[in-house]
Amino acid sequence: MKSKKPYGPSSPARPPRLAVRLLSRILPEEEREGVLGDLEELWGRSGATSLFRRRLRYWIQAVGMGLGFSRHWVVIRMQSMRSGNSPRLPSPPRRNSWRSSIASGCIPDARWAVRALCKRPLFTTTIVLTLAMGIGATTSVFSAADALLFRPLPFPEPQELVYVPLVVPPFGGRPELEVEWSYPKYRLLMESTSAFERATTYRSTTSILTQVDNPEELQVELVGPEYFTMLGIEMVEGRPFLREENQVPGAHFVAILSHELWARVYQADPDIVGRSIYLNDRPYTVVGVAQPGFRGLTEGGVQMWVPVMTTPASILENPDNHSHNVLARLKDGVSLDQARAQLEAFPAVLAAAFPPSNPNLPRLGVRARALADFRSAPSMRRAVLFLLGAVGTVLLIACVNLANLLLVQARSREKEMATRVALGAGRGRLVQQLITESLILTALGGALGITLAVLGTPVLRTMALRTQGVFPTMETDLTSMGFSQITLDGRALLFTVGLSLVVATLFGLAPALTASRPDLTSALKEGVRTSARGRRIGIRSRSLLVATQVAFAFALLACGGLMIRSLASLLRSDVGFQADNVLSARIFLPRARYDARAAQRFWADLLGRARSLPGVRSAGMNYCPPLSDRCRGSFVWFPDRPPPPDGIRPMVGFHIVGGDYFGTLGIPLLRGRSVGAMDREGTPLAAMVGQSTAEAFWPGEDPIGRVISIDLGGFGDVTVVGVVGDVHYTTVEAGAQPAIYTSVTQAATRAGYLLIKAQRDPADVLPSVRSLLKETDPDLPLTDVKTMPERVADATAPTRFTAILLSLFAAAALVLSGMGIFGVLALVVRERTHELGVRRALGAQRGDLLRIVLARSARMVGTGLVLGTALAWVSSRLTESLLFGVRPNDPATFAAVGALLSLCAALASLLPAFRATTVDPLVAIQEE
Amino acid sequence: MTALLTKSGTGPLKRQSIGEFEQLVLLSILRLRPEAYGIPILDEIQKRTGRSVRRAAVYVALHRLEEKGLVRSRLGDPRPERGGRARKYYEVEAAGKVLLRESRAALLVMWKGIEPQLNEP
Repeated sequence: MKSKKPYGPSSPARPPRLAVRLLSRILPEEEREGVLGDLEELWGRSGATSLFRRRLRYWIQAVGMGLGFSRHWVVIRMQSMRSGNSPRLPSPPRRNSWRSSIASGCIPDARWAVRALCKRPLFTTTIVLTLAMGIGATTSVFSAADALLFRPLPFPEPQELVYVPLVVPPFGGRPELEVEWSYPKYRLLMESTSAFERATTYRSTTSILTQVDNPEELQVELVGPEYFTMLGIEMVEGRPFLREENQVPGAHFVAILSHELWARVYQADPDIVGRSIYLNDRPYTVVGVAQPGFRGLTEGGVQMWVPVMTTPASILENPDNHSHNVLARLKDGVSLDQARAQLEAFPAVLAAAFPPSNPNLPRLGVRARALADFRSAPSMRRAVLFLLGAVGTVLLIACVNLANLLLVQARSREKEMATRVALGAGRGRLVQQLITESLILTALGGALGITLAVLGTPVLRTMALRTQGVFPTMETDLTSMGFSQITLDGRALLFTVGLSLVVATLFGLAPALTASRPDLTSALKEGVRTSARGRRIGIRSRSLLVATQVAFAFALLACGGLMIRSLASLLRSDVGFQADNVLSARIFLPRARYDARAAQRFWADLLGRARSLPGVRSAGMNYCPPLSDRCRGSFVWFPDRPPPPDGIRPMVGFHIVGGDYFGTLGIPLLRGRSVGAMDREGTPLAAMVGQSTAEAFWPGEDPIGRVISIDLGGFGDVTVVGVVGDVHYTTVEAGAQPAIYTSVTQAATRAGYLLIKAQRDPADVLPSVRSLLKETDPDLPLTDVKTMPERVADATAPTRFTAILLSLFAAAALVLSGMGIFGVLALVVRERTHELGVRRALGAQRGDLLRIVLARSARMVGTGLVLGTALAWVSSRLTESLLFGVRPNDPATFAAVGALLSLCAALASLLPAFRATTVDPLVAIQEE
Repeated sequence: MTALLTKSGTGPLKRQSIGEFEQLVLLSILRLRPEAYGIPILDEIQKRTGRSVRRAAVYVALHRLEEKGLVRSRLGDPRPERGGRARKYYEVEAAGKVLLRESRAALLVMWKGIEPQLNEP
């Protein structure tokens, strides 16, 4: 070429490759060069028009060309078929290319398959239902797993976002801890690392929105200036925080509202920016409203953001006040591992700048973790993954059933296949035909499965929502993906479609291959129902499949059984208090109006008046209610003992109680007296301890009169005056933690839970409690209102949720295995009718025949049980972290599951066995 | 008349015929000789008849004519503007020419004396 090439191999714009490839497959070999060359020549000539138009034109021409040549083939074929020979057939197209399929394959195959399936309605219905069950359940659980674990976080470039905690290495028998940062340490981190493009702190606090009609407690995040820009959150009104608003402590009191708060409290007022609102009676100027759906990074969601510099200087400047979370965005091209490597040097820098007070304490570390890891609680993640595994097993069992039924089907169509082979059908054609059938079956099953999933997903969501208290992250929209995000979306549907296709090909292929290789001689012989070889192989392989099913069902049932037993022992376990008829609600007193003394007066007044409300038996308060996991702990030491050699003091839950707390919750007083009104300012500080705490601190001694020193808030030395029963304050599973109680009359708290024991339904007293609070202080909201039985239910919800779903799956597995057993035995009886008839004629009793069939069933189920025990042994270990009060290899559960499966197998065998005993020898022998 | 019979000896001897479009293609090849390949063939038909012709129809017709033995083809040199592919040049076989002549003659015979009738109202 002399001239500059406007096109050609090196030209940037080439004809669409896919079109070229497809067309070259359709075109006869001898035309490829000419046609493709001409099209490319035309492509080159159209260089002046836009690439899109050129491509479009090419595609149109390619499709037209493909259609033209395909039609040519069909015409030639039809002519040659009509005339019975071929005058001069063109060079035949390659076998199995889709050009031949168009002419002779798919459509007639599909029509034939539909006809064949309609002829066997029972078989078709069973298969479609089986598949629908498997696919529906899998899709539902996948949509949950997708929402909770897999879907990317809704921030721009979410993979670059990392959460950076400080790490306290394990020491003194305590496990490793991830903790927040103090502001000075965070500043040091920013000065000494370059791994991040930008970073921000955030910490959450509760404040009361005052000077509105209904004051309410808000969760507020105190955030750095980069917070919104880093997360890519837009403002629907106003602007994000400015850098200067976050430089000087206590200078700019500005706020950004959540969309929800703006819409609910301020009726989406378009002039909100610039208005003053009051948090704990301090005025803040609204500068922005965040985009809808964004509810911060704190569990439970936040309603407002204020600059971190509004934090009191005493907190900001204290290097040991660890309350700031750090979120960072990785620099472009820096991987998480590289960032971790860059952070490795930081602990030494940190230790040099802030030497620990106790040299025995291990040096603090730092870690970077993908933000996506925090979207759901680890317990939920484990549960969902486990359920995904379980539901996958159900699908597997359904598939085995499908394969089994198709095998049965293949066997009974042996003669049809043999006839077709004898007439010249190739094996490939038969396989193609049979695969088409299983594709159609799977398509039907998949469609019904999607319907089931559409119905099942909201059920899953409501079921999960009822367990709200346990999944505290549930309501946040943008960060933690909660159960409310479970929706059947395109991904889940794509998953189902892919799954169905895999199922159809995988489980349709084996039976298709078997069926397409019939034993011609015996299959075609008149009177012989099925060939002996086929029967032997068929029944054996089907029995093996059923045994596999039984094994999987056993494993699922075992895990389900273990979860149910866990639930039972959770519900049975003594949490240390009586929940009946007790109402609980949180009250928070703003610092601006309540100093320590005012708070003490408030509680004394409220509790005294609550006791005398109609329908109230007793009233008390505690900083945190049982099973809430919201309690504070304090390091303690003993003034009368030498300090521990490693300098590490024990940690004890620190409870500030008031009114008749112990009586209201039925916590027994075991020794000494309760703390209460007699412990006033001026009297020695009194405390009570839990029973196990007393035994741990003063083994074999009388704890009454002992002195213990409390670190928290410089509380100091207290004297033990009483011992009470142990109470579970975190979770049911975690058991009782060490606890120490002081009276609110001696230790003030501005936050606490009011606990009311009602004579009957606690809901009845709620209105009078609300009006009592309104009388006491009209600006105080009553939040987190729940009855104690509700809190107990919340605490057992993850186990309940898993147990219910797992039991459903196990039940499905049981039904499917029952169907499998029934199917195989029915076939055995049908195929051995002749033999059974001969036996009967020779004098066999009904019992003998019954035994033959039942023995077959017993062998299958027995093999399955043995395999299943091994499988359950392994799989139940995966449930270990979800279990409570039962060992993963609990023999009683295994035995019960074995019995249940055997019973189910017996039921499934009954009908076929009964049919065997009713074989009429005359008829049976005549049949042959 | 042997040229009018199929070349293959397998089928019953049958008089071969060509349609109008195939005639247009054959005539176009003759006009373009020796540079007759797909693109100019189509252009020629469109230019002379003023009809819009589907590209696929031309190529299928060429393929059919070659199968019938009425045209033969040869490949030219590979050309860069065609992605390294060669042009496929067509020439009309003797049998094709005979058929064309036959068709023309048949048409002329049939046309004789018809034109005045067409002009009648």
